[in-house]
This record gives sequence, structure tokens and C-alpha cells, in this order.
Amino acid sequence: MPGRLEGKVAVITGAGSGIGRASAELFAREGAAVAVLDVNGDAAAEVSEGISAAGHRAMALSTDVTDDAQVRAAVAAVIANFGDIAVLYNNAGIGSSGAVDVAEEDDWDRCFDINVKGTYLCSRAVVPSMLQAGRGSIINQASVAALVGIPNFAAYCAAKGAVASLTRSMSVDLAPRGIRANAIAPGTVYTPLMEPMLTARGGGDLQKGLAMTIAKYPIGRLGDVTDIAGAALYLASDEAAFVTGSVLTIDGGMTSI
Amino acid sequence: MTAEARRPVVVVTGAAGGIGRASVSRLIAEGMDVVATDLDVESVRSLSPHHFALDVTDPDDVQRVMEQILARLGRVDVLVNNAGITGSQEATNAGETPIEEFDRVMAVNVRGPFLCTRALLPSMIAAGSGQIITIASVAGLIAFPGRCAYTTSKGAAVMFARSLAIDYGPLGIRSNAICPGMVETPMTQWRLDQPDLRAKVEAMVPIGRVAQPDDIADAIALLASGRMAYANGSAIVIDGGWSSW
Repeated sequence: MPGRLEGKVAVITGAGSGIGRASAELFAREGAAVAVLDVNGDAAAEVSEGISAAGHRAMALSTDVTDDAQVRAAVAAVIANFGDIAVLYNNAGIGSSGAVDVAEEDDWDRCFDINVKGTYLCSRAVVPSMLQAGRGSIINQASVAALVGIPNFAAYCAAKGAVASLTRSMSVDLAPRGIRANAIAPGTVYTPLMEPMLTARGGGDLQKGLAMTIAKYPIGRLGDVTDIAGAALYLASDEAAFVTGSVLTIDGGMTSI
Repeated sequence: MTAEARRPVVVVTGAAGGIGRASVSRLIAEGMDVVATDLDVESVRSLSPHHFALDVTDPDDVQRVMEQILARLGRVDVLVNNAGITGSQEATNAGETPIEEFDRVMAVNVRGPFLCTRALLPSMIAAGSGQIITIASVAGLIAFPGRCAYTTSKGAAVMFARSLAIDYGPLGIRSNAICPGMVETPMTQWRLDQPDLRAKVEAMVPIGRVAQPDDIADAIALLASGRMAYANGSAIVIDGGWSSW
């Protein structure tokens, strides 16, 4: 049976760990040639090697999504190696803690640089290739923080709200040219990225912070990276051919109560 | 035109309840002619010189009473679809809610606004102006645990308001929904009287308190006054921040 992404080239940013890594592995199993981008080149290489060892196609690129020259070079390398890009998953992101009155300006800027500007730079670099192919699917990583206020996470909420808005803007502008753009709004997913936040929430106790967070989830657990990768696969595939401009909430019911 | 002739005429359904009662007083204080309607007319007699018994679930009764109101006051500028119920304490999860109880909640909270609006639309269309204010709930935006019928009905009420907004906006008739959070009224008193339940509710509200009926009457009065004349199809959330996190 052919995979759901057979013959497609997919670029995933922040794919050296967490949701990005799970998505890279899933996309590859579904037939895509996957470009694993991460600012941590060793992590990207490890993921890429694992995919290749499993008999699928992947390449690793050490890329800082906030650096336009690096982004352009990476995209050119992907096209040279695999051909035109069909899927871009703007997954690279960071958290940033602090209520608005204590959030540090440097942290705020860094949060916007990676989550928002990185999404913009990567999309801008990939769109010509998608136009060349006449189709494409861009998936942006938003968050439930784009929909509701998460306590003590001012910069992150604002940045993810911007990603959701950017997604709608992209969908309107690019739909007539065959490119779909959607966002995923995950609830809290247990990844290494979340541990400092969960520990802080628990007053220094990770397990306590974890329990406090789970209490907000009707489904009784936090998300797993595979929960989000499954949603990304759907948006990447032709099954979602009529889906554009959507912010797909994958949150175990967290924003429904 | 005399000042008297320009006094807006407002019809409030469910005027005997917490939000209804506060709204009638507030609208009268702002110089409007307010028609207080309720199933129990005795309880609204003292609120306004204009009062009618009205069962919002009965199409014939709605039609007859609205005609009487139009005959007596000449026109209706604003309809406040306020009558609403939460359902009995049996109306909990979908699987447990008695069918009759689901139907009853939908009849009052959804079919009621539909019937009342339908009865007044022809006169508003003829006048080329009018306003419908439907009292929904934050339960129309987020689900209340264990309150399936109420949550469903309020989601429907929000979209009813939006449906009116797009269909009748071009005819000069605006429609908005107001989405209160937990308000201290006779309808909610049984919950708020239980200290543990009250504490639970208050912990959900960033502002740290449940709403008083006057908090909601403020929003109704603002809309009815015409001072928010560009609002159409809005779901105005008045919940102390409950649904913001």
C-alpha cells in the first residue's frame, strides 16, 4: 500500500527532537523524503540517520530558522537533493516564561524570532519551490496558547497568537496559487522543552507541576508527540486537500472547558 | 419629533429572573420604555407599567402578546431574548439527561428566542431598524461540565444571534449575543449556596468573583442604547475572564 505522503518532499524544522522528530519519522514511514532541519546539527543528523537506517529517505541540515541566509541555503540543498518541496512543517519553537510585567525583553524578542519570524523566513524560502510544483502544504506550529491565556507565559501566548494569524494570512494569499496553510494548536505535550515550565509551575517540583497541568485536561493526560505528528500528517497529505486556514486544536479537550 | 416619541421601546423576556429584573430597572433608568414579560406576570407587575404574561415556548401566545405590545406602544426597537433555563438537576451528561428535559431546555433557550424574534421581525423590517439582543452564555463558547442540554442550547443561541445578524443586517436590524459567565441569580443560587461549589466557580474566574445581574445589565443597556451601533453578530463575553484560560 502506498504511503500517504508517497513521492512528496517534506521539510520539518526543529526536527531534532520532540514533535518535529516524531513527525519526521512518521512522514518518512508514509513515503516522504524528509529534510530534518534543526539548529542542533548533531540532533538532526541522528534523526536523519535513524530514518535512513529504517530504509526511508532523509537528509539532515543544521539550520537556525532565524537566519535568512541559513534558511535559503538549506532550502536550496533540499531541492538539489530531493526536488521541489511539497510540505513545510514550521515546527521549530521555544517557550518563554513570565507574566507580562516580569518577562525579559531579550526573551520576548527571542521567542518572537524563533516562533514567528522563523515561520515567516522558512515559508518565504519554500514558497517558490511549491509554486514551481503547483501545490504545497504549509503547517505551522501554533499552540492552545494562541487561543487562551496560559498563566505566566506572556511572550509565548503572544507569539503563538501571531503564528495563528500568520497562518490565516498565508492561507488567504496562497490558496489561489495552490498552497494550503494550516496551524496545529497542541495542548501541553510532554517534551524536553516543557520540563522547565512544568517544574516552575510545580514550585520546583516537576511531578507536582505535571499533576497541576494534567488537571486542566479532560482526557486525563498530556499530549504525546505522536498525537501531534498524526495531525501534521493529515494536514500534509492530500486527504486535507480542502483544508486551509484552519487552526486544528489537538488538546485533549483543554480549551473546551 | 418630541423627545417622548424617541424613547426606545424595549421588550425583555424572562423579566422576573435575576438578569431580567436588573435589566428592566436599568433600561427604565436610562429613559427607555420597557415591556417586562414573564411566564409569571405577577412577579413583573411592579417592575414596569408595561407588563405581559408570556410563555416564550408557545407560538400562539408569543404571536398574540407581541401584537398586543405593538398595538399598545406603536413599535418595538429592541428585543432582549433573556428568558432561559438551565434544566433540572437531572439534566447532566448527555447519557443521563432525560429526553423531555433536553427538549424543554432547547424549547426555552433556543426556540423561545426564535419565536419571539420571528413575531417582531415584520414590524422591525417595516421600520427599517431594530435590534435583537440574545442572552447566551459562556457555555455557548466552552462546555460546562455535566450540563449537556444547557451547553448545547447556548451554543445554538450564539449562532442564532449570528444568523440574524447576517440575514437582517442589510435591513437595518442588528443582532448580538451576550455571553455571561456565572451570574448570581435565582437560577444559579442552588449551586452558589454550596460553599465548595462556589469556591470552585470562583477559582475559575480570574477576577475572583461571580457576576452580579447588574454586570450583565450594563452590557444589555449599552447595546440597547445604540452606543455600540457597529456591533452586529458579536458574542460579547462578560465572564470575569473565565473563558480566557
